[in-house]
Amino acid sequence: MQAIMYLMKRQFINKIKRAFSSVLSIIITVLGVFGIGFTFIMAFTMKRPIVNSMAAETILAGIVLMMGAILYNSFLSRDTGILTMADANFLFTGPFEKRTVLSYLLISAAPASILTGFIMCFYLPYLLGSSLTLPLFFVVLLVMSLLFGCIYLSYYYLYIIDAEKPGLKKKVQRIFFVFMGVLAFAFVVLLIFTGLNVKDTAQKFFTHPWYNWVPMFGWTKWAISSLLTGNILLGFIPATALLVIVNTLLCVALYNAKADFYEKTLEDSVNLQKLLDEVKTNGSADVRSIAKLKYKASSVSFKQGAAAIYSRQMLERNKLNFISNFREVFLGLAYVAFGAIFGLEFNFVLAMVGFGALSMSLNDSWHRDFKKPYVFLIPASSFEKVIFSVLPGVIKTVINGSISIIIGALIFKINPGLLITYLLIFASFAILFILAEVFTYRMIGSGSSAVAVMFMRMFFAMATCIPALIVLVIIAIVSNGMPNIFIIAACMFAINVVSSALLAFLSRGIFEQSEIMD
Amino acid sequence: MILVNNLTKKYKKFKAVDDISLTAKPGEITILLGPNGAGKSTTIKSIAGLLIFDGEITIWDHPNKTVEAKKIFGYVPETPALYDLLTPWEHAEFIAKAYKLGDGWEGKIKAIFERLEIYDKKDKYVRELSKGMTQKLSIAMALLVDPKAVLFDEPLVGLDPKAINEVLKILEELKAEGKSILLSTHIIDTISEIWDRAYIMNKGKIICDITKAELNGKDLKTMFFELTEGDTQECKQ
Repeated sequence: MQAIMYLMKRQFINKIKRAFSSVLSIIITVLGVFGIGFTFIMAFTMKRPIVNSMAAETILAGIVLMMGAILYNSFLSRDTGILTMADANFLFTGPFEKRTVLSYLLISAAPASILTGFIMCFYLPYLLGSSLTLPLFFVVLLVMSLLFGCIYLSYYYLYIIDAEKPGLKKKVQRIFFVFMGVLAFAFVVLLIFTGLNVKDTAQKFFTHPWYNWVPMFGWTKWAISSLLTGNILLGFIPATALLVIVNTLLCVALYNAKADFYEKTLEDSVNLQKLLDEVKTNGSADVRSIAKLKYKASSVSFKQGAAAIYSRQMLERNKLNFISNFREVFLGLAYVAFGAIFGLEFNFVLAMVGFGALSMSLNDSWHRDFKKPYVFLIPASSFEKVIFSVLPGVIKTVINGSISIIIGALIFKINPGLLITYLLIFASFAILFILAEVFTYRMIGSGSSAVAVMFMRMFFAMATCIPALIVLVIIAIVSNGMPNIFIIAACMFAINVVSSALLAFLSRGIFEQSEIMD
Repeated sequence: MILVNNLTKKYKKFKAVDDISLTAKPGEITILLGPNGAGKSTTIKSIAGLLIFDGEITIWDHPNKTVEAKKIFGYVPETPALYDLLTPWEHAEFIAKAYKLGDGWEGKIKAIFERLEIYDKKDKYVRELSKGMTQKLSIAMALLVDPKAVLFDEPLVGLDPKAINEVLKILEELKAEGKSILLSTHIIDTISEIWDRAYIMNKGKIICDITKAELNGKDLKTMFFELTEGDTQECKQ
């Protein structure tokens, strides 16, 4: 046990040390810590509105249910593994009892739960208004951590038991779908009774006392909403106690698990390692690292010259399953549903869908071709190679984002003319954003710090929006007021496409001077 | 002594290893040879306690999955599996704590690191090391625990000629100390001088079990190709 504690401690200390290992890392770390700290402090010092307790409860319940369900489903549907290759090799071949290895899993679930809880709670001060004070925030964080503790521990437990009795995870996934289906069915019934008013239905559904008894998600909402309304004895304490009891039971069950899970864990650690290697090399993980591939054969008509890079990427894409190829659409639709349920403005939903699609483009695989020797050797111009490497990612982001926007526009009853302008603006920024990322890659490479690279990409992508904004201001001045939105969209599209082409041209050095040639 | 009795490893219906038995005696270098997919790594991983299998495996009379067995064997995996965010020295410290090595491990690992020429890299993060360096570190970790039995899965891959020589010398020293050594490899030429007993595997089965003395001057490599590519199905010694 002493060795395992040493291992965890050293890894944590070295992570901190790495954040200060170079000037760039120091700058990024300081900026990041300052940014997060500032946002956090501001959330409690700025004047916040008093949010109606029913609205707060509904928002809270919606967030908890959505994030919890996404996390749970992704755990149950993938074989990403629970230990890295290093962990698996050292822990399984070292002189450790199985229980010591299980303790390692138990201990590592705690920081993971707290971190996930913190990410989830970060915007709660803004969403829940002034009723969430700083001391209460920490209690909310604890409750959220308990919820994620339940999720992580139950996943570990199911994974281990599934290793000996394959098929258990699938059965649990089916039960989980039935559980979600029952909730959805109850929501739909209520929706019919409230005259198809989504917002009213959501409030009635999530604030109904019965919802408090929904395992984990309902308990979490019950604990937090009771805390905020001061209902400690009959609300906060029993709800939190339920979460504590489930965590304890899972800890006991996990610690006493008898299954031989070493082989399965070692096998899956390869997948997890791929994911970590992707993050290490490129700053993000590509969906292909873990996606399930189709069993049936895929084909593509290979184009010639640099366009062969495009064909190859499309061939790989064709081999992915439907969910992996359209995950941006699912996220976008979740935002649309969220907006519709909570009565948000379409512009806000559009911003969320756009931001979601663009941030998911950060996980695309264009950077893979930048490191392949055979791509360097293709006898075509570097500019063409940049374009064709990035094109599949651009097409995918534009198409998937557009699908979500169109569905959102239909639900929010946006007129077709306005919809076209929204699509034009989204497409132009998608192209610009991705090529800004490519240019950042050209400037600083994949770098040693994944966080630093990610931060610089985001920063640079935002900076490239400036020309379009300048043009917007000029149009406003020249036309003495804001012109027709379609003209604005067309001008933005033109400017962003020109800026993107310029960025692609400036990035061509990726195929002339790269780390692969060093 | 590493003793494997009737080991079978199935992946669904496919038998990766089919009812094999082998022994790696103390003071001998036992090698596992075979083409890709023959079942060498599966055998080594089964012995290391990483896989679920049918049959019986003991390491110096302890069932291989017990803590007692794990205390006395070292394992060098096919692909170095190390912690990116630890330095080589910190890896050694972790191993020292895990195996409760007590005082003196520092001097021992220093000597091993110097021998494998990675001492100057002892404070670098593993993610900054080359592939060959990580392979050397992996070997160093296995040796630090002073094992009575050592499993090497393709230990020479990725090493430079000097490091290969050093590893071969280490193997001979381990042999002289009476340790059981089981090594899987493709590189027959390199180990031709040091091996004592060879098991040639093909399609999950051991098709030949031979000692150096039994070869009678015959070339192991020629025999390997005859068995794995030619008409000869099995060697009977």
